[in-house]
Amino acid sequence: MLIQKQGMTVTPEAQEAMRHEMGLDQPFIVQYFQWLGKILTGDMGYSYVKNTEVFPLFMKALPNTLLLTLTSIVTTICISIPLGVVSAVKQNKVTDYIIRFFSFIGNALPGFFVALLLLYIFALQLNWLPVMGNNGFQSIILPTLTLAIAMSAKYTRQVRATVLEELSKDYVVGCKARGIKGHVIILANVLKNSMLTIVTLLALSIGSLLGGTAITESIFMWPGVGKLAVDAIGNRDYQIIQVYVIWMAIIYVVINLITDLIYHFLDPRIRIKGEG
Amino acid sequence: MRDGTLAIQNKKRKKDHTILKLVVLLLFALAIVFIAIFGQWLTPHDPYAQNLAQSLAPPSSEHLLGCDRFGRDLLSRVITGTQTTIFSAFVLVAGITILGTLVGIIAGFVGGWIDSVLMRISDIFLAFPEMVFAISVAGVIPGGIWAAVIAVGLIAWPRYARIARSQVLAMKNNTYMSAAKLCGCRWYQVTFKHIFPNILGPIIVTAALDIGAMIMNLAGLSFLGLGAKPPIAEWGSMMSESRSSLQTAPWAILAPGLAIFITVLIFNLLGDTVRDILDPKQKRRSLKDNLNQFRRLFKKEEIKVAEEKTK
Repeated sequence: MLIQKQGMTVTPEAQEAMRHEMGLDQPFIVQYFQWLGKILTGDMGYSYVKNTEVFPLFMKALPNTLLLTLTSIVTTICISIPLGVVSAVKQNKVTDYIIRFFSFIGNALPGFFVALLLLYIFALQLNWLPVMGNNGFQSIILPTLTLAIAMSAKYTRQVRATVLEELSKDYVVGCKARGIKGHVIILANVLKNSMLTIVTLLALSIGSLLGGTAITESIFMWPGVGKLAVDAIGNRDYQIIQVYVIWMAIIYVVINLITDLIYHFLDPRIRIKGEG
Repeated sequence: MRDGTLAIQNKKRKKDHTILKLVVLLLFALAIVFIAIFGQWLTPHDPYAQNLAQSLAPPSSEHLLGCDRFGRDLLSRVITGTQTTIFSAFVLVAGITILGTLVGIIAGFVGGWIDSVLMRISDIFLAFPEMVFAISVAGVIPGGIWAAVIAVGLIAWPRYARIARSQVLAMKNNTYMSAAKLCGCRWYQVTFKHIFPNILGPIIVTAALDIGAMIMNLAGLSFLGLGAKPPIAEWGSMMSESRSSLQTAPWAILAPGLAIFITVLIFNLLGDTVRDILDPKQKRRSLKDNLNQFRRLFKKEEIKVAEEKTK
């Protein structure tokens, strides 16, 4: 395959030699264990298409993806928590209906459609922001917005449901009876108690975000791992794809573990139960 | 007394409201399915006929939604795309529902090492972020839209297996199960006559809520070039094809994009309504229900205490 790319004719002997060199003449299961051993010792393989080691290539792209994930999560939190709380407090009033209407629309819009709409409006028509690539602060705005809009739509609804459940508990009535102001109850008690659920949901969403970035990255030409993987699929560059899947799974599992640990700080009930 | 009847009336009116919503949404959904089935006869033009003179023509009376880069009528292509999208999404949701439910029932019903093996397998899939896995698998296996369906299906079934298993486990210790066995029911009779109808509710709710998400996932994969391949009319790949002409011909993006949006919106609303009707957890409990539950719990505790005493 590699030789064909260089425009030479392939003799069967050369092909056989190459197959032997790459270990492709061995049984499938032997190849698998060889690969497994290499992965465990930190050898992530060699990209024959790009002619470099895969690992540095991947590590160069990873910070970009993590940055994008971080900014979109922060934006999501900034959008969805206030909207969700307002929507819950004003339950079944006009504000609530407007917020729910928009969250429903946001839920049904596919990420790539949002991305293209944003591109068309802000980059092509208004010329405010750069179209693609990574040149500084301005170019992260549109990809972040794309991811944040989809996530906020989902989370506003879930924050609303969580806060509503919390509001129906007895201690809220108790606080009100003691004459504590409404917004104080919401900020000091209800929000604090809802945090556990909200953190869980956010952590779970990181998985979908890691995948979602692949589409967004390839539209905005953001040089992250998602774009790397999509390009690799186009080139049939399996080494990169393998590393992508493994690392994304590792990150996902580690984040879930961290969430479990965060519970201990957020919820004394779990901490005490665990110790007692 | 008066308050009580009022509450009942309100409840009834609300339920009627939900049923009405369900009927309306079902009609919309059926309309989409109708377009999907009879799309071939509804298209005003041939969706694959190229006419370069009409390249990127804006919407007009002849081409209601305009034309794409190759001068193909967008309305016809959107209609034809319904077929690809709806059928692949339905097959996908049906497939993962059946596979997941079967695995879940077997794991929950048989138990033991089979349960452990099946659940560990599903755990492996749950360790991957959904779209990361789907992108990679769809990229590696060839086969157009069906590769995408398999890729998304592979990662999505464990959720159904978990739901089915937990339902079966909760069901297993009920008295009527013992009664059924006592009456001489075979295992398949127990499974299909007694377990299956009882766990159907949560699974249908999950499946109904999943249709919209699956349509979006498949369109996303096609957009990346990992699902339906051009020139096949599919909404995701149509948008991907028209990406380069975003500035000159935004309608080429808008038409399939809005098609996805409307379809997903309808199926999401439908899923929500189905959940409101079927899912008992979502129903708001009255004070009386809470009290009753409390009484029941209390009774159980009392029985436990009594049992311990007799020991």
